[in-house]
Amino acid sequence: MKLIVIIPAYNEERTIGSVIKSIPEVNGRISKTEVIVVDDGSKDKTKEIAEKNGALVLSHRVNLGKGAALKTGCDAAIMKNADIIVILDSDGQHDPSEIPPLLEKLKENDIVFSRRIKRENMPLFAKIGNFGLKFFTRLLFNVNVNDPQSGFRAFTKECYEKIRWNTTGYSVENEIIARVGINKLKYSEILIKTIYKDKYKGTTLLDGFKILVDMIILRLTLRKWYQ
Amino acid sequence: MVSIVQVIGVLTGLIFIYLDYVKFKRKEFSTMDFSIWFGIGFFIILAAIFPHYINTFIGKIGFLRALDLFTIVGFIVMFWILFIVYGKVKETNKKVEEFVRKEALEKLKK
Repeated sequence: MKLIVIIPAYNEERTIGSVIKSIPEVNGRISKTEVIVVDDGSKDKTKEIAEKNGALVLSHRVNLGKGAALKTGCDAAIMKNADIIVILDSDGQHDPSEIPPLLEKLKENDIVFSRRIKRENMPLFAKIGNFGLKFFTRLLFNVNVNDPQSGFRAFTKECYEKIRWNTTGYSVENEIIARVGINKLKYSEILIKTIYKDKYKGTTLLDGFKILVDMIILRLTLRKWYQ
Repeated sequence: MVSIVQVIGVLTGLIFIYLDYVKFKRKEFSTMDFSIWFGIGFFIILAAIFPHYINTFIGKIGFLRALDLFTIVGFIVMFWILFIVYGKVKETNKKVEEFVRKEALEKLKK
């Protein structure tokens, strides 16, 4: 089986190299591991550093957002005949050494989510935002995911065909959950450690409100939900 | 007696129609866009040339002053333009996204 790791990156020259280097060679049923970095219109040396570290880099000429970058990466993975896709952030907040347990759990599921455990280090806004989004995710989509904003996930190629999203921004995490719910896919989650490197990056409070509005629109517009 | 306000009104309407026509000929405006903006320009000219008809009309529909009518019509037009611009921005964003993503994926085909 072929595993492709997708890393969307926007101005991450400080961390992208170490993230790629720490991706382990997975044994067992995985025969080949590849890394695709989607450079989402970075203005720094993200692309050059990612290439130097052996990743295949696909470049967006302008910044489109995390959802669009992930979609480009996952479409590329399908074109390269991936059987399993892992997505993780480029800012170093996910530890790639946790890919094997994620894949282990994937044997019995279509998709595996991650849940961050080092809660005491979590910024206050992130705590409040995560609680609210977790509550609304359950309420709107009936999917029991404890950390809906955690972007470290693994899924099969068959699963990707069902969850392929339209969102271009940070709401992508929630659209994936919504599509898992409407397609009644098998899911699970694992505990992961998380390192908060830069409090000014990632999802802001304003992004949180936007995500909430997007979730409500999704709930109203995803037609299959009503079938 | 023709007042300066009437002259300004007619000129504004004519410039409006001219710009509308140019955009239509450049295929930047659809026939629908052209017709609607032409109608607005034509109304401005009529209102400038025959203000007394406008006053009679305003009285019949219950507005006290022309300014009230223009304020209400202004808001309606503004929301309508906002709606169109919103739609166009969404459409343009989608096209840009498709183009940029397609261009990025071209690398795999080489």
